[in-house]
Amino acid sequence: MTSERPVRFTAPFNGPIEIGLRALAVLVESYPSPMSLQRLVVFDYLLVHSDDVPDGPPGLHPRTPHRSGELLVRRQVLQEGLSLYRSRGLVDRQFTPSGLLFSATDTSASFLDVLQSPYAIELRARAVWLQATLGTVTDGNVEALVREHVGEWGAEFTMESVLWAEDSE
Amino acid sequence: MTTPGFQLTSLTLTGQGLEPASLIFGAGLNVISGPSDTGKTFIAECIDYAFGWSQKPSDIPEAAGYETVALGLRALDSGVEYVVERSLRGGGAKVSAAGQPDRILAEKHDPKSSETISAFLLKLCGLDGRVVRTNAQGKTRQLSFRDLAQLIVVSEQDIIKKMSPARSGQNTDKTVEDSVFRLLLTGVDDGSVVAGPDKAIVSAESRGKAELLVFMLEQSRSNLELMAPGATQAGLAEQLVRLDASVAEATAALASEQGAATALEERRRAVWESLRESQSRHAVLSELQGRFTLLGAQYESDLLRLEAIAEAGVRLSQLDESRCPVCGAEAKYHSDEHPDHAVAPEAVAVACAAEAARLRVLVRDLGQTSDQNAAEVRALRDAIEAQKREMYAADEELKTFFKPRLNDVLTRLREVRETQTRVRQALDICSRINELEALQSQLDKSSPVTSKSKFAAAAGSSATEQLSLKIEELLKAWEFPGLQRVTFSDADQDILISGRKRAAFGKGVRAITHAAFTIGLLHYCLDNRLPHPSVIVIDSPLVVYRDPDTEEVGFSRKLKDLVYTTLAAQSERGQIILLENEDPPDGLPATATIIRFTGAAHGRKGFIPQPRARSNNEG
Repeated sequence: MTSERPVRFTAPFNGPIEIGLRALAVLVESYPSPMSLQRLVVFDYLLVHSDDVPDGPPGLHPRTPHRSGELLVRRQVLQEGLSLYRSRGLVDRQFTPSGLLFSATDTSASFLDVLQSPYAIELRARAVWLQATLGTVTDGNVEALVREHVGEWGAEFTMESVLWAEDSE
Repeated sequence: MTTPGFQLTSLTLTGQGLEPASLIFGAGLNVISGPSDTGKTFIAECIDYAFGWSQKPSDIPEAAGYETVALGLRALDSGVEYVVERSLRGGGAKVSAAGQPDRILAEKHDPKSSETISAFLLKLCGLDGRVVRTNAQGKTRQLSFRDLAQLIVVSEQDIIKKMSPARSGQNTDKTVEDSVFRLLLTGVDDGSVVAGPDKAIVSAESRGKAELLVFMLEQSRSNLELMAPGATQAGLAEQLVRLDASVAEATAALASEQGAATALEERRRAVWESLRESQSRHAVLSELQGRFTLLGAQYESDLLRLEAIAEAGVRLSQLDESRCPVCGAEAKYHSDEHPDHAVAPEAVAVACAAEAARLRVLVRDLGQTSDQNAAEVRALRDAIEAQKREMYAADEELKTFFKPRLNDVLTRLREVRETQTRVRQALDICSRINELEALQSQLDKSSPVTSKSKFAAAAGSSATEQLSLKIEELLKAWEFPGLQRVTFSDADQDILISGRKRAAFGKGVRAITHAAFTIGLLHYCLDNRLPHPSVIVIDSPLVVYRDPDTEEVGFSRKLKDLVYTTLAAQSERGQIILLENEDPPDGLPATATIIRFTGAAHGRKGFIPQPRARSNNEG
């Protein structure tokens, strides 16, 4: 699949700018409440695969096989993205008794308002829905939710073996 | 064997403290004459007793106290003199001879033993080990001396009997007696006769077989009726032929139907194969199409994202860096550049544009591939439909047209085969019935072995003719009145004199002719060098009863004298001992031994001497 590209190349996809943008959209909706990195990882996934949540809006990204793997590889890039946006004063980092938390700043919302691409607009709508749906759910319960469903996300393509057989001929 | 047989030399009766009673015999004719009660018959009984007779001599008062009878005899060929001693109480005998060890002989003949009286005497005659027939089926046994006894020792009762001299009158002994007679006449015994099965057993077996056959036939016939009522073997055979033809016909029809169906089935199978192929390929390509769709969506999504990222990058770069994006240090604290930090937002916009261009190419290519695949999927779907229709049509045709026809033929074939099997089974029963009937007729034809057959004829008419001639010679010499021919009757084993059966004459004639028969047999054997004991003892052949027989009118004293004179003249032709009431005529040659009992005080009273006062030296 074309979405999985190593981060080191100058591939813009899932790079700090895109990931940071998505994180910013989420943080803006929960402002002023901060979020943990892990919560951001899950919310980032659910933002683009909102159709994996029952009754959620259509997903922004296609439902590729094994997409649940994205939950595992996002962390590093998410950190870089958050650092990038923090360098422009759009994200704030806090050390709390609960751990390392991130939040939006007072300039974050106006930054997002400037963006006009259709993707960005859709992204912000999803962020609103996500905050409304899971905003009050604790980190622990969010994790539980993920654990429960992670096996389903990306397991739709049952006939994949047919393709492998074709390939091997 | 030059002169078989033996000659009696003496007869002696002994008892403790008693004077022995003794007779000395000579060669040729011996006459012992005297009135009744002088022991003549007793003499004959003693001789026969010494010959192994199981019956002891009569218990006459004069013989009281006597214990042993001793018969002296001389073998004619070797000249050895034997004495056969036997206790009057019974048991076996002792034989002694000079220069030989004594032998103890058993009374009864035993084919396995040579130490019997019978074996001893038979050996002297050259008749040991001979075999005679005992029944009509050819059972045989060894000859015993007792078989000869009635032909050589004739008692005063037997001399007048109506039966043939060769027969005793017991019907069960007839076969043996005839066989013995034949043996003497021909010298050939029945050693080569093979015994056939006992008539009674054979008959019982036959009955059993016949019953079984009847039972089996009934069973088979009723089975046949059940299986094929009213059918005949010929009818069934015909039916089978027709059935075979039907089977062949039905089989051919089946083959042709199957052949026609086969072509259609082949086509159907071919269609089925390609249908499966199509369906399989359709499944694969459909799956692939799904992937293409997904990829297309991916590309679309990617294009949108690129647009957003480019915009965000531009906007970000317009903001001042208040912190280091890598380490987060505030600008005022940051001096060195980090190596390896993420690409600057400015550069990202350029990269995004390039990437988007590449993507658009991919989208176009994908579009083409996807369209092609979609077309093929559609084509396959159509092909599948067509093939399904074709298969369905073939199925229908097979089902509605061929199948029923096939079933019909199969059913017909099965029915015919079933009938065929039934008919075959019925025919099997028919042939079984035939076999049984054949066995039955075979059984009816073969009657139990009756070998009254041709064995008996072996006596050969010439032997009996010659015997008849000898007897005729004797009767002629005795001037038998009215003598013409003497002929032989095989059935009676007896002679006919002048055409009249011997048994039909009165007892006086019967006595004389019995003697002639016995002596004639002796002469016949001697003249033809056939084995014979060579000694004959006849009791009262010439006695005529007081009551005259109207038959006896022609008898004269002359006949009796002639008997004596002719026999006396033939002393070289065997030893003949006659016991008679009347004295023989005077003037007989010295070769004849004449012993007269007086029955009175003068001369010799009788065989057994009067008891005298005992003295120690006698007895």
